[in-house]
Amino acid sequence: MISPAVPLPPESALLLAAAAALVPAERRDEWRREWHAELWWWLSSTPDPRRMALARHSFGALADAFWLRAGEGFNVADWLARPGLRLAAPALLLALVAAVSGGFPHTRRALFAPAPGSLAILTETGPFMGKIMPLPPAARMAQWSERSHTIESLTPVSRTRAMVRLRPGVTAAQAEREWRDWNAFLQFTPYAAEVVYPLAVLGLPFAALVLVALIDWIRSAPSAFALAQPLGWLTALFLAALELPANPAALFLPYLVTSFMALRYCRRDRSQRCPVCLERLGAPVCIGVGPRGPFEPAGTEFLCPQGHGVLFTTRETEPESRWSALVA
Amino acid sequence: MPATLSYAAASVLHAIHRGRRYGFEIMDATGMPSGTVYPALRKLEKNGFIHAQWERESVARAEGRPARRYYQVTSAGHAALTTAGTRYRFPEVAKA
Repeated sequence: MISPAVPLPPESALLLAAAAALVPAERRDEWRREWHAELWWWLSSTPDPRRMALARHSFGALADAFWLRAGEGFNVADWLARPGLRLAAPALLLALVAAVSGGFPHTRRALFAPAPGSLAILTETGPFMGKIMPLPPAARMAQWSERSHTIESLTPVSRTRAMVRLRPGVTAAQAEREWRDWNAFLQFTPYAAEVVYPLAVLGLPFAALVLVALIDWIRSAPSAFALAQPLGWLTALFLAALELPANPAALFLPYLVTSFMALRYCRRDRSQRCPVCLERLGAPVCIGVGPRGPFEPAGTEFLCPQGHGVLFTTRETEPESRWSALVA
Repeated sequence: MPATLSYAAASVLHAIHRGRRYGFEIMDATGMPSGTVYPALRKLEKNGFIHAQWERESVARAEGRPARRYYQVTSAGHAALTTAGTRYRFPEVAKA
């Protein structure tokens, strides 16, 4: 029994709980007791304990738990570099975005909108800086809805938004003119514009980057991993950007840069793997140095740990790589 | 023949030898992060170079804090530290 209790912030408590799950069951209680005591000491002896510093300190519990689970020969970096985990990383990002956003509501609305031409989003914009305000009470809006000649139905979807079905032939602007007689700050935005705009703004760079990834895949070793990894990241980042509560135009550049960096990362990761078994290449040997230097091309040779071949990379401003398969 | 210790493990063993007895104190003395110190402690304990013992719960409760897990260098640990101290040039170990 531990006394007194350690008041941990949620992220540190989560890290500790995740690490505890990795520790072998027979050692878990003692492990948890030791870590709680250590964190208690950390908290009580740090003059200005910061949450991030505590989280970083708690992160050590994961390394400790990994060690206890897998023993001395276990290397976290090697484990994280496994191809399956690299492919799972964008899937994890997608799961996180799905959990935070509540199942990709923006994307679903954009893709599966029923007759989007007759729908509009109703919001109330405040007098200062166009800030979105909470909508009037539901009973008041129901009264206006009954008196309206421009809308068929009104369904509140959140505290600040309501979905409106317009009568046939009525535009969002006409509905707005009618409703402004009752409340001058109400605004009707065509549903199609609201949901299709982000798709159009972010979809173009997404399509271009997918094309780049496909061309790169065709030009390189065409393995499933080399295709799945960049496409996974591009899709995950695209869906994450669609769900962000920000103006798509403002997101354009950060999205483009992040996706481009993800592509570069995938390319680099792929170039460091054996094309046969996808293991990370190791045992680098410098070639073109020493007495035989003038007779050999300068570069570094990497060996597949399973002996499938060697990768020779030239030591130039724009390095070139050449894979040579080894015959057993 | 004592097993060869990594620098991190040798530093942790050295810190315990110098009287740092529990994880937080060892981190403080070595300047290494928790993700290095704790696996090193497990490795040293597994190899029999240190021995861990829980503080008496009554003592901790009287001071209003959780009980600590104290580490002590064993005789095998002292032998390993002498070898490692020479290799990594820990001052007072190398002299001894």
